[in-house]
Order: sequence, then C-alpha cells, then structure tokens
Amino acid sequence: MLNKTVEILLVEDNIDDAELTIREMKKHNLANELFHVKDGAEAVDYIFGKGAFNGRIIEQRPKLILLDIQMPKLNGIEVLEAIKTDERTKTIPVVMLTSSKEDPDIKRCYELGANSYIVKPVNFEAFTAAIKTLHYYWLLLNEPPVK
Amino acid sequence: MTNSINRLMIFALLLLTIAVSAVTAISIWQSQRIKSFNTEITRFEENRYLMQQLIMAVLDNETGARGYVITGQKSFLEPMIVSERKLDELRIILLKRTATPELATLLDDSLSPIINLRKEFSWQMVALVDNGRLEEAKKLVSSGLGKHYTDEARKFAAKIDTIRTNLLNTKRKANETFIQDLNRFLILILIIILIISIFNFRQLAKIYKKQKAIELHLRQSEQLYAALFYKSPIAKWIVNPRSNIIVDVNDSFCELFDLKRENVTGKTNAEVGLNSSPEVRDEVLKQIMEKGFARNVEYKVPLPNGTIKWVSMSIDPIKLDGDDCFVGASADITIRKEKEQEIAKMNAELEQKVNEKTAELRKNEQQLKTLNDSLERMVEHRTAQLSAANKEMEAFSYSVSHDLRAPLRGIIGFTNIIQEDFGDTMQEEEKRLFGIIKKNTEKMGNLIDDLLDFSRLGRKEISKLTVDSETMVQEVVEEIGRVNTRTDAIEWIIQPLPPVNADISTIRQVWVNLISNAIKYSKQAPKPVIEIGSYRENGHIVFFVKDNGVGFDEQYKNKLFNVFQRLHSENEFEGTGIGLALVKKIVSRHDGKVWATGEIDKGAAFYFSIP
Repeated sequence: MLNKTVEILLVEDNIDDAELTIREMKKHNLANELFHVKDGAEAVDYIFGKGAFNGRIIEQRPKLILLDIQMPKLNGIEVLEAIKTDERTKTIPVVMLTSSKEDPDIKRCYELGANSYIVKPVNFEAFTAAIKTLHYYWLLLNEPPVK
Repeated sequence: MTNSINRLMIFALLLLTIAVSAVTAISIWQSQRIKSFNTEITRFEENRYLMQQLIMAVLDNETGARGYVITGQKSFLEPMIVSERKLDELRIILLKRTATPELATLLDDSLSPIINLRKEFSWQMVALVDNGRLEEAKKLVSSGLGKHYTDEARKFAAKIDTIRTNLLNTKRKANETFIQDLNRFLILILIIILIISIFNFRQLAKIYKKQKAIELHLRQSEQLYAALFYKSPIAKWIVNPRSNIIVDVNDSFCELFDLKRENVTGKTNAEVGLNSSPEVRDEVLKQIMEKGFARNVEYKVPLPNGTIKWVSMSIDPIKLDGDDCFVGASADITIRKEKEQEIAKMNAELEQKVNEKTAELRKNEQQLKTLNDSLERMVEHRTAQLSAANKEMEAFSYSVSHDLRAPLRGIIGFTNIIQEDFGDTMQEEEKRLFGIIKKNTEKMGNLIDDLLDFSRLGRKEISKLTVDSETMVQEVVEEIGRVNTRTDAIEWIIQPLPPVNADISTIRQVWVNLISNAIKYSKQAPKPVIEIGSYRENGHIVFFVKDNGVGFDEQYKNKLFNVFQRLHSENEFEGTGIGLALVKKIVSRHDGKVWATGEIDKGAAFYFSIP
C-alpha cells in the first residue's frame, strides 16, 4: 500500500467535500490512483515518508497534489511551504483547492510556488466542471516534471 | 613750473653776468688799444719833429758852411758845428727810436751816409776857406753838390716821413675796423643783455603777481575758515592740549554753555567750569590714539548756572600758528537724550505689560493644549474602538460566509448524488422536491458569495491608477458575451470613454455589474439597445449605462442601491440584489456618486461619477 503508485494526493479535512471530489474523480477513473489524507500533518508525513507512512519512498512522487488551506494541525500554506522548499518534492504540481478567496492567501500560495489556485464553487455543476478541468489539464495535457 | 622758471632765471642772470663782464672786458681792451694808438701817434709826431730837427740841422749845416764861405765870419761856423753835433745826436736818437727795420735801413744806409757827405762837404768848404781858397769854396758852393746833398737828405727824410705816415695810417685803419667790429659786437651783447633783462623782469613780474594772488587766496581762506568757525551752528572751541588753555570759542559755544567769550578764552576748562569726567577724557584719549580723532562722545555737562545739558563731542587735531591744537565740536543733544529716556521708560512699561499679557496668554495656551490633548486622546480612543469594531464586523462576516459555504457545498453535492444515484427510482414529486431543495441551496450559496464579496470590498485597499475606460468596457462586454450568448443580439452603442483615476479591479466590477444588469433586464426587449457613454460635470466624469429594457418604477429609485434590495421578483429576473449595492459601495470609496433613472418598460439609465 505504501508503494502503490499515486496519481493524485488529495489533502482535504472536510469529509463531505472529500467524498464529492473522490466521486467526481471516480467518474474519470482516477479513484484507484487517488490517495486522501485528512489534515496537513498526515499530508506531510505521507509526502516525506514519515510517521504513519514511514518507509514510503519519497521519490515516488504523486503526479498532482490537491491542497486545501483551512485544515487542522498544519494548514495548507504550511504544507505547501514544506513541499516546495524540499528538493525532492518541490517539482510536484500543487493545486490549491480551497474555499478561501482571500487575496493574501492567494498571494502567499503563489509566492511559495503553488502551481494553481482554485476556489471551490458552491454550485455543484461548477464544482464538477472544475474537477473535470483539473483532471484534463493536470493529468492529461500538462507535461509532468521528469521523474 | 616755478622750478623751471627759476632755473631759467638763474641761467639768464648767469648769462647777464657773463655778458656784462664781457662788455666790461671789451671796453677796457678797447680803451687800451686807443691808448696805445695815441702813444703811437705821439711817437710819430715826436719822430717827425726829430726828423724835422734833423733836416733843419742839415740846413743849418749848409747855411752855416755857406755863410762862412760867403762872409768868412766865424760866427757862421758856430751853427755849423752845433748842427753837426745835433746831427750826430739826432741820428743816434732816431736810430734808437726806429723799430721798423725798413726805416732803420733807410736811416742807416741811405740817410746817414748822405748826411755824412754833407757834413764832409761842409768841412771841405770850411777847409778851403780856412786855407784861403775862397774862389774854390765859392765854386763848390755854386756847384750845387752841397745843395744836392741837402736835397737828397730832404728826400730821404721825406720818404721816411711818408713811410712812417703810411704805417701810422695803416695802424689807424686797422684800429678803426677793429673798433668798429668791437662796437658791433658790443651792440649785439648789449641787445642780448637787454633781451635777457626784459625776460627776467617779466618773470619777476609774473612771480610777483602770483605771489600777490596766493596772498589774496590765503587771506580769503583765512576769512572763510574764520567765518566757518565763528558762525558754525555747532558749538566749537580750540584748545591747546599742552597748556589746557582754551584758545578760542565760537558764538554757538557761548550760547550753548551760557558763557561770554572774554570769560572763556585764555582760561582752562576747569577755570571755566566745564570739566568733563575722567571716563569721558579716557574715551576721547583712546579714540585719538586709535584713529587720530574722536567722534560722537556723548556726556553730561552741568552748566555753571545749574542746568544740565547732554552733548555729543567730536575732536580733531589742527595746527594753529605752528602749535598742535585740538578743535572740538559739541552738538547739543539734550532734547534727544530726554526723549530717549522717555522712550526707554515707555518701553519698559510696555514690556512689562507685554510680559503680563504673554504670561496670561501662555496660561491660556496651556489650558487649551491640555484640552486639545485630552480631546485627541478621546478621538484616538474612539477611532481605535470603531476600527476594532469594524475589523471584528468584517472578520465576522467573512468567516461566517466562508464557513457557511462548506456545508452548502455538502448539501448541494450530496443532493446531486442522490439525484444521480437514485434518480431512476424516484417519483416526479420526489424529484421536484429535491429540485426545490437544490434551488434554494444554490440561492443561498449565491447570497453568501455576494455577501462575501461585499464584505471583502470593505476591507480591501483601493489603489488608484489611470484606467483606460474604453478598453475596459470593451473587454467586459466581450467577456460577458463569451458567457452569455444573448449579447450577440444586442446593439451596442459605446461612445469614446475618457480615462479615469480609479482602482482597476473594483471599477471593473462596477462595469461588470452595470453592464450585466443592462443585459439581464433587456432580455425581454425585441431590439435591445445598450448605450454606454460619459460626460463631464463639476470636475467629475460621469459614466452611464442605458438600456431600453424593462426599466423600473422611479418612486422606488432610492431603494435600488440597498443591499439585497430588488424591485423585481426572483421569477422575473434572477439575482440577489447585491450588484448595485456593490456598485454604490465601490463608487463611494472613489468619492463619487451613483444614481439612476428609469421608466417602466422604456428602460433605465444608471449613472456613476468619478472625480
């Protein structure tokens, strides 16, 4: 399980939001390659092979990380910083998928090296469209960084 | 100029002296020459006389001899012997007196021999007579030889005389020419002397005139200075510093110090009662030593009659008849001093008053300041309170909206899941009810989004730049057009729009809201026309968006811009009612105004102004 290839790492504390996202991803046959962690600390542990995920190979990087901001323990910005300042992980594309439309947050994320910033729409159609677009863009169109 | 004239005069005098000396010398020389010439003449005459004597002696000799022959008387022999003696004497004398060699030769070689012959002839005759040879003697006489000898002697004598006379004449002529030349020369010198004398006399006359003029000038100067001294309106005096005696004073002095001149001149300051204090004397001395004169030394003079005067004294050194004296001038400044004292007193009084008033003022100032300070602190406090309250409010509304969104997302999402997963097994009514739930939730979501936007705007800083309105409007229209396909049917009249100084993103929001409103509310119009333009008014730029859509009832126009306030139902036109409130808020932050006009079914026009 530790060394299963993961295409998408979803970092989301809201279980309902997570369920919706995963459901949409399923529609695009990505559920198998999607891994969900529930807070910032778990995310960091997973990415860096620490704690509960001790032994996971760091170099087996996910293709995409979907990162929420408002989370307990470590918030999304702190996780982002951790990812983007480590040589081994900074090339992983990170999309901030969050409710916050706050300019300071947006600015900070881009400063830290977030690849994209998307505000979760309330409207469901818009939400599914966003997920779809995400999938198409980051997993199909975009050239991933060299492994 | 005088120097060269003096030198000229001296030179002239020198010449004069030389000339006069020359004239004198020449005159003396001339008289010498004349004297010597006269001697020559005398000499000549003597020689001639001697010559004549000689010839007479010859004649006597002849006569004597003849007479003896004729008469035979011995008495005739005597003159003959006498003459012989005379002839010898004369011959010697004449020879001695003859300087000219030519004459001497004649005398010696010609005359003397003839005379000897004559003498011998005479003795021959005598001898004959003595020897009784009278007839032979008479024959000798008649032969004429004796006469011949006499005649020859005469001839030679005459020749000698002529030569002598010629010599004398030559000498005389030479003398005369000499004297003539001399005289001419003398006349020349005399003329020169005359000229020089005239020149000298003229110079002397000039000098004399000048001297007189200088004396006159001097006298006039003296009179002028005397007048200045005596008639000066300022008290003046002259003192001899060595003896301290007052030499002279002028009328003003007497007036100022109430003294008579005769009581003052010849006395010292002390005697007159006008001594000044040691400080004043020291000051005067100091100035004189530094500059050579003293200026404006002010001091008090108690007069002998009891009054006190203030004077301003100045002292200068002068020379009077060779003595070093001081001339002093004292101006009466009593009145000025009195006035100065008065002014000083008034000034002091004024200053005191001013100080009192200033102290009062300062006290008042302090009070004011304290009041001000406490006011300010109060204001600060209130502002801080308000600010904090505001922040709290905003943070509150933000977090509320934010935190409300997540569950909403959940409700909508899962409602959809139900619809998707179980839609096939649901009844129409069930579907309809779920539809209502979803619709309402979505509405709530929109409300929350709008509220979020509205609140965020309150917290955001606006930064003003020059915004190209025209480009922005074009972009907005295009963008809305991409989303809303209905825009193709609309006729757009977009006038040229001026640039404004505004915050880019918020002004954009204004345009977006107004234009999307215009589109939304025109959707029922058969030929929707939307006009966008601007004009200037009172220093503001006013933009407008006009449509020919459904319009609104003007009596409610004040409610238009309220939050969540609508003039139409949700069924007619969707929307939360926050769009215009947002526009108003943004425009207010730009210090502008919004307003609208409308007519039901004719259309509406929305205006906003930006300074």
